[in-house]
Amino acid sequence: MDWMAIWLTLRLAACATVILCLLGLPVAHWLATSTWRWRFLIEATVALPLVLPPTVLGFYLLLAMGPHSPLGQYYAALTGHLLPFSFQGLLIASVLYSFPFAVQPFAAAFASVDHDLVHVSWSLGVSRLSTFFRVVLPLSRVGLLTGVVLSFAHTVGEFGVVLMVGGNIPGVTRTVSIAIYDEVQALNYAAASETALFLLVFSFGVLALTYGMQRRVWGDGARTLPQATRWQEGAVDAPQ
Amino acid sequence: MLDIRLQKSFDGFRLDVAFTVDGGLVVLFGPSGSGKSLTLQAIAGTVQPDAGRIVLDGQPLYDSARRLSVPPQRRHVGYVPQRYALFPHLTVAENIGFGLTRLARRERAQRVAELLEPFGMQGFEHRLPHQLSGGQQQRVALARALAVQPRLLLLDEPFAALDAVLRDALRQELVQVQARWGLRMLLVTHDLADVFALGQRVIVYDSGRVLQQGTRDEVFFRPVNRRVAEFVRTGNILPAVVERVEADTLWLRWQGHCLATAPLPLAPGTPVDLCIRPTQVLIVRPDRMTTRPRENLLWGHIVGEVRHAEMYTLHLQLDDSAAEYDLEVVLPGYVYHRLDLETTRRILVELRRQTLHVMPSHADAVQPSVAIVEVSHIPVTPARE
Repeated sequence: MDWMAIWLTLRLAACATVILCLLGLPVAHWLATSTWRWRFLIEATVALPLVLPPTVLGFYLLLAMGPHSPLGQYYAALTGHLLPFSFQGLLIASVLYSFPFAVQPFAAAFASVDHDLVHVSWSLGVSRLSTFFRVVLPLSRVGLLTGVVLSFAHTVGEFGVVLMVGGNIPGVTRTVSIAIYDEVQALNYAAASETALFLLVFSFGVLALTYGMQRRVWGDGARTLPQATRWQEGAVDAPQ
Repeated sequence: MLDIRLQKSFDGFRLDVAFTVDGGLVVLFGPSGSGKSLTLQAIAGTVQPDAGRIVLDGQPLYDSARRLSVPPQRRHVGYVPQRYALFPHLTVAENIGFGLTRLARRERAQRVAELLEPFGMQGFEHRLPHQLSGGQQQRVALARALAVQPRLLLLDEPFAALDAVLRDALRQELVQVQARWGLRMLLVTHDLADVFALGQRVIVYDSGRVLQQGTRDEVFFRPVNRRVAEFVRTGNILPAVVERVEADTLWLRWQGHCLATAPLPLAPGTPVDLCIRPTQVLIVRPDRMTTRPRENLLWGHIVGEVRHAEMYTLHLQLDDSAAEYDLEVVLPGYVYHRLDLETTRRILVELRRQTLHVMPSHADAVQPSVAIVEVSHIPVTPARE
């Protein structure tokens, strides 16, 4: 069992998810509320990692981070190391290729909040920012959670981009998916199967927990219900 | 006083309205899609018009000429959307206290309690919106809007989602709320019954324009053109032509009949629409002619009738008429029976000139520039017992 690889992968996924929340929430909110006519261009850009082969993505990332690029040179001057083949480089790559897996569920969640709720909040004197935290965010919980889980899971599972940008350095960029690939190449099936099974169980556990929580969240009436529904005990109107 | 001038176009629809309202309860009335809700949203500040000016109590909320648009947070205009938009994740108390961010917790709770009481919602503080009935949700939505003491309250079809019995009760409640708080309200509806129960002033909308504005009696009994007459279900809209004008009478020719109405300065030959409400067509018993001089007497046959709970609607075909029927007459059941109309199918009707209303024949939008008569100033602060 390659604990180093597992630990590295979890670290990478956790850091990437945090950054994706910080970057992805504002972008998703803008996408959900903007009426800019060229918004579709941004949407297409965000969705690119969904359709590009990982090797294409990896290639461009290498170009952008390599020793001849401004970014790569800046990093080398700062730390004395190369950006690709480092944890930080892998982190940047992970954030980029998991971007749509965070932003799309976030944007869908924000867009699903009834506009009237936002408008009423404004008319009551509550600022836009405050409205976001008091109304939009609580009502988007389900979608936000989905985005967080998906981006975490996707980062854990990526292979192609990691291989190209990471370089398979143990303890630094040798994630679980790379490690398993290595073991299989070396015909070391026993080691491979241990690591793979662990990852399978872990991922399934996380997903099951998340979807299970979502079911409960759905149940407490997270949407404004149509009028002609609940006549519960005590809710009958008597003439005053 | 609210002074509005608005234009907005999109997707083939054009909103172009101007009106002034002051005091009390004003109803924006018209069919769905005529721009009433859009007007409310522009006043609330959630939609930006293309051009225009909105001034409330002398303070401009929107002015396209000066590129001014006050954000909704600072307009102090309450907004209750069509389905109330209660925050589903908050309790009744949290909903009502939502806008009271400047108050300390204790004061906020007190204010919420004060607002629950007139609506009879004490004890509901910890309920969630989905546990409330439609009428209760509406009350909470109202209380929430009132909590921040707005200068003007906008209501979008507040009774549309309720059943008929509840609607009547809540209409009365709304009138009481308005009187109690002395609050100016602007209410959007496509339901004529709302207009009558609530509208001290009515503004009639159609396809993005204002057709008529006035008191409900004016709109109901003296519609300005055929379209408005249709909206208020005038019933009998008769195309006629001016025959001659005399000092005390205007003579019109309708389907070969000569009708007398109150004098108007119209040229002979002008086409007009004449209307008379079905309830105002009088059935005359020829043997019971009174000493009062009668005019506009017409003989006809009852060719159709519809029975309602307590009223009858009769379709009357006049003598020498080729139409299916010419006049609609509505009368109470007891009159129907007293006149024995079940057997007497040939009747004489009188169209009294006071009940005949003459309208110009073209259906163009009319934007009167007559200033609205000021209702005596109603204070905006809540009345305290």
